[in-house]
Order: sequence, then structure tokens, then C-alpha cells
Amino acid sequence: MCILTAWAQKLVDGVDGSVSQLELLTLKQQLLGLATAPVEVAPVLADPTMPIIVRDDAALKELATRLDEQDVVSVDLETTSLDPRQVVIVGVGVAIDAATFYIPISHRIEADGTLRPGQLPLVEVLHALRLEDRPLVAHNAKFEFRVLRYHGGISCRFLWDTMIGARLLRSDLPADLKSVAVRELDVPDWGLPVKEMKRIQLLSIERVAAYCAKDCWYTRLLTLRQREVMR
Amino acid sequence: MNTFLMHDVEMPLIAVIAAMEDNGYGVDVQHFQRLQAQLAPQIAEAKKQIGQVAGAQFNPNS
Repeated sequence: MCILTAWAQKLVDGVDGSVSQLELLTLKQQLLGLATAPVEVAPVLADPTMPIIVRDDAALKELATRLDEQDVVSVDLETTSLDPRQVVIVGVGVAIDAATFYIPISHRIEADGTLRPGQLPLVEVLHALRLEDRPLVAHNAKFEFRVLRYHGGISCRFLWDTMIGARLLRSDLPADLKSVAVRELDVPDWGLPVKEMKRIQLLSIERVAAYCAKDCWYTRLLTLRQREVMR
Repeated sequence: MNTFLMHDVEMPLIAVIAAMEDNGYGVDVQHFQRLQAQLAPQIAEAKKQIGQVAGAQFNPNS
């Protein structure tokens, strides 16, 4: 701002007599006004696909409070397989209006198979988040529904399923989340290699969190888009 | 129409289909055995016609 002020002053001082005093005064006022005007800086928004990892009770409680304010909560479970009865829940992902969260549950250390530190028990997580009382959306919600009922003992209410939405809107195209998001949201594919998916429990919390956050966030965006298109 | 299908058909069915997948559901076995016997000649005829149209015999169930 100081540089601009000096520049404006120099410009005004350099104007010769061909300009009337009134014009000169007006110009000077305009330039100085411009130079001293507060600079509006657009707020830098956090990337919602960079997840906040919830590692303790305090953070879990804070997340639960934030969920209370939401009209739509996108949820995604990271699991060891696709059979709802056989899976182990590795982590829970949640996306809300401007952020994503990942709650690690059962990541293990490859060397000895023990649980990594900084995780929360599933029972505690489900008790705190009360997902059964939330307006949930998911991609292939039936999977989340079944897993949460089997392993969490809760029956959740899903308002929207982006996989069903994709099929209703374009039954001729693939309806898996990556295909739909790449197609509809123009985002790059973020899938984990199959080899890594098979050993997801042994991957680092941060790696799975980053992957899960994109699943959740794009599911949320697709929900909003599909609702709009169908309306 | 799609909104109706989503809210009034698909989403309420999630819990129902999940329960069916988890618990199975009863069927009248004898009824379907009778139906199978009744439809077998028609299925064979349809397969024959498919083969003729295609110019070669193949398994349409595959």
C-alpha cells in the first residue's frame, strides 16, 4: 500500500500544467483514495479433501457437535473386504459442509500386527457420533447400512445414495464412485491400487484418511449435484 | 420422477433389501419347480431360435 501511495503521489506531482487545478485535485484524491483503500484479500479456504484426523475423545466430541448443525452428512466406511458380515471396520470417514474427518479404528502395524496408536474404539465412536440420528448420504448406502448394523448394532437412515442417483440419471454409464465423480465433478481418479486395498488395515492412517476423505467429499458433492439435476 | 424414485422407492428399500440379503426369504419351491417344468419347452425353443438368428449355437445364459 505504501508503494502505491508513493507511486500515486509521484504521478500527481509529475502532471504538467495542461491539466486544470480542479482536475488535478480530483485525480489526486482518486489516486490517493485508491492507494489507501483497504485491500480485500479473498479468504483462503482449507481444502476439504484434506481430512482432519480424529484421534482422541475431545476431537470426537467436537466432531459430534459439528454434526448437529448439518443437513447432510456424507459417510464412508473403510473396511477390509466387501462382505458386510466379514469385514473389519478400519476407519470411518465423514464429510460435512466444508470439511472432512477421518476416525481411525483398527489400523495395524505391519511388523507385528498390533493396533497403531492414536485410534478410537468403534463403540465409542458410534456412541459419540450417533450416526443413527443423522441425515446420512453415501455411495452404495446399503453397504454402510449393513456394516453399521452388523458391527455397530445401529440402524441408520440414509436420505440419498449417489450410486442409485447415478443409475437413475444415467443407467448406461458405470455407477461406481470413481467413475461417477470423474465424469460428473471433473476430478482426477484417486483410487488406491487393488493390492493396497487388500491390505488397507496395514496402510498408514494418513494414507487411508486422504483416500477416504475424497470418497466422502465427492459423495457429498455428487449428492448436491444429483439433487439439483433431479429437481 | 427420479426424485420420487429416490425418496419413495429406492431409499426406503435399502433396509428391506439389506434384511433380505441378511436373512434370506421364503419361496414356494414346489411352485417354482412346476414353473420350471412348464417353461422348459419354451426356453428350449427360444434357445434354438437364438442360435438360428446368430448363425451358431451358444449359451445365452453365459
